[in-house]
Amino acid sequence: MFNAGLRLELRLRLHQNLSALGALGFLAVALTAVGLTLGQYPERLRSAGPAVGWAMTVLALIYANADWWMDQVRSGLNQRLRSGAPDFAGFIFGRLIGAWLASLPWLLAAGWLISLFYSQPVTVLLALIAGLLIASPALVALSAFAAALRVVMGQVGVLLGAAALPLALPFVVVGVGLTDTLSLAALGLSLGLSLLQTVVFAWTTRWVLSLV
Amino acid sequence: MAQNRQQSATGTFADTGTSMLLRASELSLARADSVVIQSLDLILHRGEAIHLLGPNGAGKSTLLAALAGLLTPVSGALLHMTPATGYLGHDNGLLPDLSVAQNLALYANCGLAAEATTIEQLGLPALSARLARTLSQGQARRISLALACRPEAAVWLLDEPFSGLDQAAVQTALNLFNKHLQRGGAIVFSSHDHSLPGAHRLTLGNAGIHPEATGDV
Repeated sequence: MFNAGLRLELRLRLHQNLSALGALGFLAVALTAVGLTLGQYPERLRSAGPAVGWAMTVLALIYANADWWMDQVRSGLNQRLRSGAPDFAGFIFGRLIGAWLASLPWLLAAGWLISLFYSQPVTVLLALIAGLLIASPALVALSAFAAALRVVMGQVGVLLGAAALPLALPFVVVGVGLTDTLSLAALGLSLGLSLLQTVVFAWTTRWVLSLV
Repeated sequence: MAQNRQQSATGTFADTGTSMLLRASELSLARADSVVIQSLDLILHRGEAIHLLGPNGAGKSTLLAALAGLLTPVSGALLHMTPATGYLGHDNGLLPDLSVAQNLALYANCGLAAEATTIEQLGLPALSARLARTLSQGQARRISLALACRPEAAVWLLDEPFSGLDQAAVQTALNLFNKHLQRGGAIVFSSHDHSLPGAHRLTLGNAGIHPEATGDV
C-alpha cells in the first residue's frame, strides 16, 4: 500500500506539472515585486531578499500543496480504500512521501530563483536549498492536514487549518537565520522540528481522512 | 419520538439456515446532525439481498456508508462476520488523470483487484486506454462496479449501482449479483430503477423502516 501510494503520487504530480509552475510563477512575481519596492536600496534588498524569498517559497509550497490535496481528499478513492483496503495508513504515508519527492525539483528551482533575483553568493544558495529540503516534508504534511480538515469540517476546518499555519513559522525563522549564517546547529534544529511535525501531521492527516 | 422508533427488521428476513454475515443492532445514524435512521435491527445471511427503498434523503446512502464502516453510528452496534466488503458509493472513486487500466492497477496494488472475468463481462478492456475523465457516467459506473463486486468480498454494499447503466450493462450487473448470491455472498443495495428477483425490500422513510415481503419492486 505504501508503494502504491508513493507511485500514485509521483505519477499524478508528473502529469500535473502546471501546479508546480504556478507556484514558481507566484514566487517569481513576489520576488520581482519585492525587488521593485526595495530596488532603490540595493544594500537593504541584498540583505532582506533571501528572507523574503524564503517566506514566499514556504507560502507557495503550502498553497500549491493545499490546493492539490483538496482535490485528492475529496476523491471517492479514499472512501473505497477505507472500506476495503488492508493498509489505508500506508497508502496515505506513501502519498505524503511521494508529494515531498515531487516537490524537490521545484524547491531547487526556487532556491536558484531567489539567489538569482537578489544576487546572492553560493553559500546563501546552498543554505536556502538545504533549509528548504529539510523543511519541506513538514510543510507538505501540514498542507495535507489543512486540506483534510477543510473537507471534513467545512468552514470550521478552514479556520482550524489556518490556525495550524503558524506552525510553519519556525522554518521561516530558522531559514532566514540560515541565509545569514550557514550553521550546522540551525540545520539540526530545523531537521528535528521538521521530523517531529512530519510525523505528527502525517498521523493526524491519516486520522482526519478516516472520517471522510 | 415514539413514532420514530423503527419497526424491527430482525426476523423479517427468513433465517435461511446459512451463516450470518452482518448484523446491525439498534443502529441509529445521523447525517449533518440530523438523525435519519433510528434503532434499526438488521441481519444479513449468506445468499440474501436487501433492496433499500425510499425517497431522497431517507438515509439509504447513510445506511450503506455505515454498513461499510465509513460512518460512525450515533448509537447501536454493527457486527461484520467477514472483514471483506465491496463498497460502491455515489462517487465512482476513479482518478480522472489516470487511464482505466491505471485506475484498475492502482486498486489492485492496494489489495482491491477487480476480477478478470468481471472486467471482461462489463466490457472494460475496450476502455482500458481511455483517461477516466473522458468516460461517460455509465462507463465510469461499470468500472466502479467491477471494483466493488470482488468475489473475495462476501458482502457487497452498493449505492445506486445501476445509475447511468444501459440496459445491457444492467443485465450484466444483475447476472453478477445473482452469481454472487448463489455462491453464498450477500448484497445490500439501493436503487430507484431496478430490483433483484428474490431481494428483500426495506423501505426507509420519515414514517420509519418498513420491511416488506420478498418480491420485485
